Amino acid sequence: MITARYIKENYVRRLPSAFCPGCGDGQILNAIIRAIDHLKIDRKDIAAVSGIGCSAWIPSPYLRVDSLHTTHGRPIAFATGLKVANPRLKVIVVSGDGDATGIGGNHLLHAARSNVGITVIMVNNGLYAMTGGQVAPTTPHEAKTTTTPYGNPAFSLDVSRVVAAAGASYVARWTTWHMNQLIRSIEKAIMKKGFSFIEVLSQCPTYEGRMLNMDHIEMLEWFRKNFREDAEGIYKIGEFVDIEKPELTEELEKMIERVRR
Amino acid sequence: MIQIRIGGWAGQGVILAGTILAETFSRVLKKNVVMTRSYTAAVRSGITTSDIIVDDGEIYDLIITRPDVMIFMYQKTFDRYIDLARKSKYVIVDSSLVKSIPSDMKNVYSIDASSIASRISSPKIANMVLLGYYARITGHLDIKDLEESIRGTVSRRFLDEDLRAISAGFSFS
Amino acid sequence: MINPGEYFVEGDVAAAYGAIRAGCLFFAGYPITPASEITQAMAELLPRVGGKFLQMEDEIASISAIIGASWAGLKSMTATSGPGFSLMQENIGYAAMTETPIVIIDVQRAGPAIGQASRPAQGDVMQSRFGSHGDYETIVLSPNSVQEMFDLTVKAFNLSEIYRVPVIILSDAEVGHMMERLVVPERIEIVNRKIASNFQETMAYGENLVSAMGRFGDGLELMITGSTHRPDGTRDTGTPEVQENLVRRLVNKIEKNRSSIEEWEELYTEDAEILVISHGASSRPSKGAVIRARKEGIRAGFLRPRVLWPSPERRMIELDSRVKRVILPEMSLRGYRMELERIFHRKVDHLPKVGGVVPTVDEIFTKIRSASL
Repeated sequence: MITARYIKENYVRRLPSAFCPGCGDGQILNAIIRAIDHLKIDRKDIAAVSGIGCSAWIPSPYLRVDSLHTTHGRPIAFATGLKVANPRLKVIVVSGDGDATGIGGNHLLHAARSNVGITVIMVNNGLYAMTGGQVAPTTPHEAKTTTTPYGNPAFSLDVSRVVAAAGASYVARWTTWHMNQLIRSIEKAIMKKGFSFIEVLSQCPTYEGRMLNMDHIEMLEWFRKNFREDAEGIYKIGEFVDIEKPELTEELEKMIERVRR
Repeated sequence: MIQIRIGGWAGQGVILAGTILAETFSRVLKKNVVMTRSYTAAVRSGITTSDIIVDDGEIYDLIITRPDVMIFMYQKTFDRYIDLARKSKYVIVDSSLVKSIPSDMKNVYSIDASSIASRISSPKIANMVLLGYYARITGHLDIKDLEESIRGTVSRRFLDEDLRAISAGFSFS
Repeated sequence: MINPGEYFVEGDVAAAYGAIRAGCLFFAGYPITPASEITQAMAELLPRVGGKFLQMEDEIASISAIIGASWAGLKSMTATSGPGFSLMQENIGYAAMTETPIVIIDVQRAGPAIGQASRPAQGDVMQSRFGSHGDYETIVLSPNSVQEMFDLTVKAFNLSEIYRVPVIILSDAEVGHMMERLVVPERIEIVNRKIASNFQETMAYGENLVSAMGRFGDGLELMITGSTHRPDGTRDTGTPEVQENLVRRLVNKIEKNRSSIEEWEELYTEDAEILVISHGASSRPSKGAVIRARKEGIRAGFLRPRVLWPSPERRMIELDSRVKRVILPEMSLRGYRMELERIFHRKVDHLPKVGGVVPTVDEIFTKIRSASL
């Protein structure tokens, strides 16, 4: 039985967290820890990398593993260098939707394409929360944010579909309502040889909630009702890709062996 | 000090010819050599030059100011550097590619390097014919030095025809 | 690999040879004229020594990847030119803030913007020192020959490992693309970072204000962040003293150690009245012009910083009392001028050349002669 105390003593640098009351980030931290614990991976073999944004704080400062808190949008590129330099490490990137698909979208595409064996957990709250609730690439059409006060004139990105098309080995989408599925999914993603990507829809009661006039409980309820494995588009949850194919660091190692022979 | 400029169009082997010449002075004749090159960013367009400065002591100037030899493989390149060419002791041109030369220039040595190269294998090795001819005209180095140099750099596949091209240039009269 | 002996190679390739001999085991880069030859050479050489090469999606990703690799314990490098160097600036500051040893080669080309891609310039002098936001220090080296592309690349790795800073090699298209003889010596001094064996060591700053570096995967539970942080890595952006102590130490570890970092070449300076200061490719004809001036009886002297930042300030101040005129030939309208005018407290006779062409001995000599009249 994994108790809160066990988690705190073994996996968390400090509590309470700085997350807003009702924020989904604490749930996602919890899910990552439980997945690591189930897998019985030595914490020293895990490296967590994040960029800028609320969700970047999930690994840094809270997760008690080697952590690299990097510049905005770039954690996947930092993580690629770290993984290639030391393939033994299980490298987990936690990134927000703005970090991973706005400023850092190019890195996400190329990490998926090159199938580098890192795990990216993208926390999707549909806007930029840390800077004050601005429109993001994931904000729905016509939604109001602090920089789209009259509604979003642009359209949102189905990130999981894009990452799947770019060549990832594992792609799944869950919400913070689907905690058990999320934990099992993170376990699979960490153990996946190639590039693995999990999109987690997460509630931001502070900005998203205010715009939608919902508290965090109502938002979770909304996730439960609308996000289903048989739903369409962005509302479809589940595992979208789960395949085995050659991975970048292994291919590099093989090439080096070939060249040196 | 010897200052040499080879000028042509991208893709003609200007840089390769410059490299071989520079290596001959450096490796074979143990001189101090600086070779610089100038070209546009695209791989196959634009004026390309290769400058070689040879000295017994330290080399300070990195570009040609008092040329001893200028070798031209393209009319436009010749036209661009004609003022400098007038000051050069020797101007060597591939006569099938540089046809319009002011008649008052008495320092020009013409050789139909492209045709000679074509008879050996292909016009691609016109640069080697010009190197052989350069050695003959200037006496800066012996054909043996050039041969020794390219044996160490050119891949075996092209070595034979390159050697023939250099020799053909050297014996041209 | 890269055995001692004589080579005839271009500057870019010599830099790659230097990196390999310095123990570089990771390179990430993106193609750009005139630095692509470094990237290509590293792609060929690294696998042969068991190192890793990645071509990334852009220059931002390249510098990100080498910082990541450096935290995995590998000596890491990238190479670029102006446009890519501009893109890297944010993460140069990140490397300075997180004290990550990395080496960046900027083979300068004429700007601004796309400029003349294959032509040399020296317009990145200030950017190499001040390009990222906020207060920080880097070390910038300035090679002027193929030999120095090798030697200073080795030195760049050593300095970055000693001081845990990004070290920039500020080359230019002329030096990067020129071919000259390179002599790879038998013995090369190599410095490796001190790896922390426990967490305490990561917070123990030596006399030079640098601590041992942790390595990911060693179980130290490192917390590395570009935010203002306490010595143990804890983010603390609210306490003024934390920011002050951190930033002052980052600056002081270069400032207070400058006497062991500075390096320069000088000639005929004992009695020089006209001092020609130059760097990189322009310093070659500058030296030639000074030698010619001496032959004609002009009291000219020559000084060339091999380490451009921090500049050899103390030596320049020593020379200041005797020197009547300071001439600065370089391929930029601003280049090193502000730094020299700051040190010498007077106008410098600037001799800028901005066509993408190296100045000649004739041009610089003419300037020296007119200054002597």
